[in-house]
Amino acid sequence: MKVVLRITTHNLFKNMRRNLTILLNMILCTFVIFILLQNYHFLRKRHSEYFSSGKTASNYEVAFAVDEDEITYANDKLNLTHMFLVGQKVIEDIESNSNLFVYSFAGNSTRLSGIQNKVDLSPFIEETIVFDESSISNPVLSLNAFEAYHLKISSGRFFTEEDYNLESGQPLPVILGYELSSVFQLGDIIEYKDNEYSDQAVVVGFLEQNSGYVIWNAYYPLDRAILSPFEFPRMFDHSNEYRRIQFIYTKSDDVDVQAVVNNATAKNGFYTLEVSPVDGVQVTETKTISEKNVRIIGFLAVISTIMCLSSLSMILYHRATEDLPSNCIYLCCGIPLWKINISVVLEMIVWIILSLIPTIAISFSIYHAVLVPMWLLIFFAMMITGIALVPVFMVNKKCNLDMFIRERIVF
Amino acid sequence: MPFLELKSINKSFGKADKSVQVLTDLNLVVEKGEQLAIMGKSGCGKTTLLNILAGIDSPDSGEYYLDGKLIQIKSASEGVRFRRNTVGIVLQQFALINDFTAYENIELGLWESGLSKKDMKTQVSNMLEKLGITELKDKYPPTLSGGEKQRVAIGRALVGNPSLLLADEPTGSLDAGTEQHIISLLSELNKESGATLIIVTHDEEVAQKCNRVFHLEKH
Ligand SMILES: Nc1ncnc2c1ncn2[C@@H]1O[C@H](COP(=O)(O)OP(=O)(O)O)[C@@H](O)[C@H]1O
Ligand SMILES: [Mg+2]
Repeated sequence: MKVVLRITTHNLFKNMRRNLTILLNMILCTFVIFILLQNYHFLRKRHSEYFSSGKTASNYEVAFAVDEDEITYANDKLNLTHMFLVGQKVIEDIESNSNLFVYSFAGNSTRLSGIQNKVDLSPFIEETIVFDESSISNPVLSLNAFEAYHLKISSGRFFTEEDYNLESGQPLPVILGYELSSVFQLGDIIEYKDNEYSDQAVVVGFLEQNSGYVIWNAYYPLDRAILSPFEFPRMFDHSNEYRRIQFIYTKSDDVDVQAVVNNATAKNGFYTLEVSPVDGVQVTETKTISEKNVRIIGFLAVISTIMCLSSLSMILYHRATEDLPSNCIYLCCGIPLWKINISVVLEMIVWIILSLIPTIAISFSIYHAVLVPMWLLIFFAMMITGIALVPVFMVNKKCNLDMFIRERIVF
Repeated sequence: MPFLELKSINKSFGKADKSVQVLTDLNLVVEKGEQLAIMGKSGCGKTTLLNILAGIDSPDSGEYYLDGKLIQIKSASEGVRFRRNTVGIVLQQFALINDFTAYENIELGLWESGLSKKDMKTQVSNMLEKLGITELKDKYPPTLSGGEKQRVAIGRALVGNPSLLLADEPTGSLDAGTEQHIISLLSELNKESGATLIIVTHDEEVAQKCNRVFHLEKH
């Protein structure tokens, strides 16, 4: 074992230039394998499970719905699934577009649900944290909450008792925060639609500017809130389900929202996200470029894997030929061939580990996670390296002392 | 019982019809500690003979006894095992690893000895001293002269205290002055360690330094 390790360290540290080439090649290999695996993973998933789109009044809306499997994790970062993470990245990209405002609210992020007593606890709390709500929140209010939290209406009305006893089919009355008054008007219908659910809300009022409430030591601003008597959309049978609704407001009329969304989905290899104008008119063109994109990337990844594999095996083959005299000398000194071969394998394992680092780093910086299972990545990297090593073993097998001594293997 | 004995060794190369008989009914007896020079024309089979002695090649027929044991090498790995700690080899082309220092090249001869790092160090240092190349220990072979390289190679062959030291034209790539030096060094070190030395050479002067000369005839 000591001998194997010595040969390995020798291989690793002498001739750095040559080793750097090997490492670079393997980094490329690993990265390509990563892309390949990631795309393969996406191709297997059916698009309808993950999101759908709906439409409402005078703006754009993207409804991003996640299935139950996907949400077990929402609290548990470690278990976030790949698709969910990529979806997040798509949303992030859309949101960062400077021509759009994106507001989203999630069905289960409700905070004011079920306030039953009129006692305001805030006077007892000394320090107040102000929450910066950049996305739309959807607090569910009880009838008495308006009084308890001193909320004031700038136009329209408060909720009434009837609002809490709606018959099915009646739209859910909602009161909007001040900022949303630039987008919606009293009486506007907000519609939610995905594969399973559809629900309607009607705007019945607007809050005054700078409204908010304090619970314990936290201040929740409501300027971007949609207040409702029940969670919107109403899902009486699937109370655990997670719904995320994205509203995209354009700063000017000539922004092609679908193009922006297509861009984001294509860039991330996500499925097509259909954006519908909220006024009910179907969008002209919903491209499926992202799905195509996934296939093209996958195809390119296969090609480049093959190219990486052949160049890696070429480099290794060349190196083995160069090392043949050294290996003959090892044999002369009583070091058996298997030790030489094992040390090459050990060396490659070190390179594999090193070559994983950039890929993992890139994946983390984009998605905050490694989207492809680690063992799968390592397995494929090992497989590629294993194949690339076959010619090396074949060269080493040729290591013939007789030839060497008769100087037919020369330095 | 002699230390080394070859009994009617035959060796040929090539397929049946085009086969070249290189060694025919060769008999050789070498005593322990003896210094034997093997001489003969180019292509007469000196290297072939040395290869058989080193376990690199095996004869077509005949027997090879070393230290009373019948040596039968059936595979390359058996050859490696046989050479380990028994046979030291010095070649005309030095056979040093270029990115090992002189020290590391000599130490290589001890890798399979199972010695501790510390013991290796003392042995290699002793060997460097005996060879008079202590100050060269951190140099790499490409920066050494031919004579210096051959000393390193001798050091590596001898450092593990083999009982049999084989040298195939060890002075073939050296100039006359260096040649004398290397040969004296070889025979001196050999006397000291008590190993048996077999040198292949076509140089009369070299041969005269040895106890005995064995002439190999061409067939
Ligand atoms: N592997 C081989 N295949 C065929 N012929 C060989 C092989 N090795 C050596 N020979 C032949 O055997 C003869 C003896 O070679 P060798 O032992 O190298 O001679 P020397 O060392 O005395 O010059 C030569 O004619 C050589 O061509
Ligand atoms: Mg020869």
